[in-house]
Amino acid sequence: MRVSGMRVERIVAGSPDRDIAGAPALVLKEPISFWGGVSPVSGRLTDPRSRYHQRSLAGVALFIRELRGSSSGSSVLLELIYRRLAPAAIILDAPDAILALGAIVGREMGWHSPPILRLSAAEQDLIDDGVSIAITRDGWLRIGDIAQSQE
Amino acid sequence: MNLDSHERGLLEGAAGEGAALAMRVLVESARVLGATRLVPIRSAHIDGCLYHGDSGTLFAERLVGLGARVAVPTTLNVGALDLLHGGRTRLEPAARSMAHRLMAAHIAMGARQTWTCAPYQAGHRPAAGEDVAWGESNAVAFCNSVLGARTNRYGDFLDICAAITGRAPRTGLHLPENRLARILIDATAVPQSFWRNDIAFPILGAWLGRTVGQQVAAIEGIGHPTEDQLKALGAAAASSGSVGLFHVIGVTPEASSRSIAFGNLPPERIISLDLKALATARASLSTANRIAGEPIDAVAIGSPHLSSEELRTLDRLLGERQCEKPLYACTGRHAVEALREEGIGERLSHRGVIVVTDTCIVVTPVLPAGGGVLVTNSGKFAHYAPQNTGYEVIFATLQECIESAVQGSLQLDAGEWHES
Repeated sequence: MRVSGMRVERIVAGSPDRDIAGAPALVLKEPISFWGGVSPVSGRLTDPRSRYHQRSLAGVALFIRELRGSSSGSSVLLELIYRRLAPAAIILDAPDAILALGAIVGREMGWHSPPILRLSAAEQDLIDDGVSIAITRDGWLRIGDIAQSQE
Repeated sequence: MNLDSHERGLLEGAAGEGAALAMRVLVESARVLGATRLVPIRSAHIDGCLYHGDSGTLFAERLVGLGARVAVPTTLNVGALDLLHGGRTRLEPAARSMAHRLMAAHIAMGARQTWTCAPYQAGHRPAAGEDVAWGESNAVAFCNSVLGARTNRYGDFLDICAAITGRAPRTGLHLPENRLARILIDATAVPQSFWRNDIAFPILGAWLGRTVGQQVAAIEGIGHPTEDQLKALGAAAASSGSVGLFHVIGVTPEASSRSIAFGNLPPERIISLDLKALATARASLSTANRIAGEPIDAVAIGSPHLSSEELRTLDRLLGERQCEKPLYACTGRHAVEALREEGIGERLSHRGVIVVTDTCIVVTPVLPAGGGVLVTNSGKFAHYAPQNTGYEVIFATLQECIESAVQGSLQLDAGEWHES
């Protein structure tokens, strides 16, 4: 049986450009600033005032509704890429050049860089924190656990 | 992407491999931003010289190795080291070396060694209407709002790529229609006496950023703020929201009147500002609960970097007194240089003020290790210090900051702000 998915728009392709399977979803419901909000050393969220404090970004499908704050976010993402602590994919409500830059430069440097994708905040609401996410190169996002239960 | 022959040439390596790499990054970013063409820029301000990790150094050195040079006058934002005061930062030797290499790479590409987040205080003041490419959120807000020059918030990497290519994506705040105010902030209900308080403007900025996010607002009824007050407003707004441009009606260059600020259109939204909202915004800037007389560990001012005038004010308010707790005064080397003949830097140092140049306390480890309670009058320090330094923050006026440093304990003025 064919499992329905959600269309995600590609902002920046991953490098290498490949399918992603089994990435746990980290669905941020509050705004995030990469600079100041993410440790480039540990890849963890650092704001003690946030309910996501200490969650790791490494290997997750990171859903972000709202980005804010410093333009140094590109550097933090590039450092995560360089240290192999980057999310498997970053899914935004709206295109964002600051995060895109980190991924574009990561690709230019020849490092493994996550795709930056777009999915509306309303559709992000359908995704529960922690579920398993698959994203194909041609832009389909599926919730892995549903796929398994229907097989 | 519609590129002209010069731009296509850069992409094809006519000006070398470094410029070609910069052009690839620029064109790809322009595509992400939805731009179909590029705009020539007159100057650049680079935020990418701040060390965040080895990756940024490796990228800058890749550009240098490929022969890249800046094509327009370019200033540099803070680095992670105070090059004038060795040992000021507590970076580990490996990070110190990489931070230094990153700063050196930017010098090698031909940028001016300004090392300040307030390049507009260091003589870099583009004319109204000029297209430029600036990084660092407070500098961007100031450049657009107070100078009337046109820039988007250029993140690390895009800023240096724009400087190398002399181009930026033609989108966002480069386009006149996107610079018009959409939201009117009506502050006429706030008593005029409030705006004489020196922390009024960072509080307004913190509120503005949270309220309008990236939308362009025009503020009415806050009198005639000084350049330093507008600087504080913009910095707080850019850190709490993503404000890249705001107008103050009757004050800033694109808002000589309400109708000009809004392009003869009615505001899409009118928000009335009152003291209650400002009190809430003020409370949000402090994370520590301390009452007057309780101990504090350090005081920090100067985000954005203190102007010469602000250093003079610090000197005057401190007088001959000695600081019991360290008072960190972050500023640019240009401001220190300008005051050299007045002997202010030396006098401040003798009285326990730690003058920090070329960098600042939230971007690199300067404050004593172990955390504690930090008193600051900067909305931006208040925003970033808890996450970046491990210090809890108390937001206070400049006078309260200075008295707290002198006494070594929290000193608060009597007044309406502490009774609510």
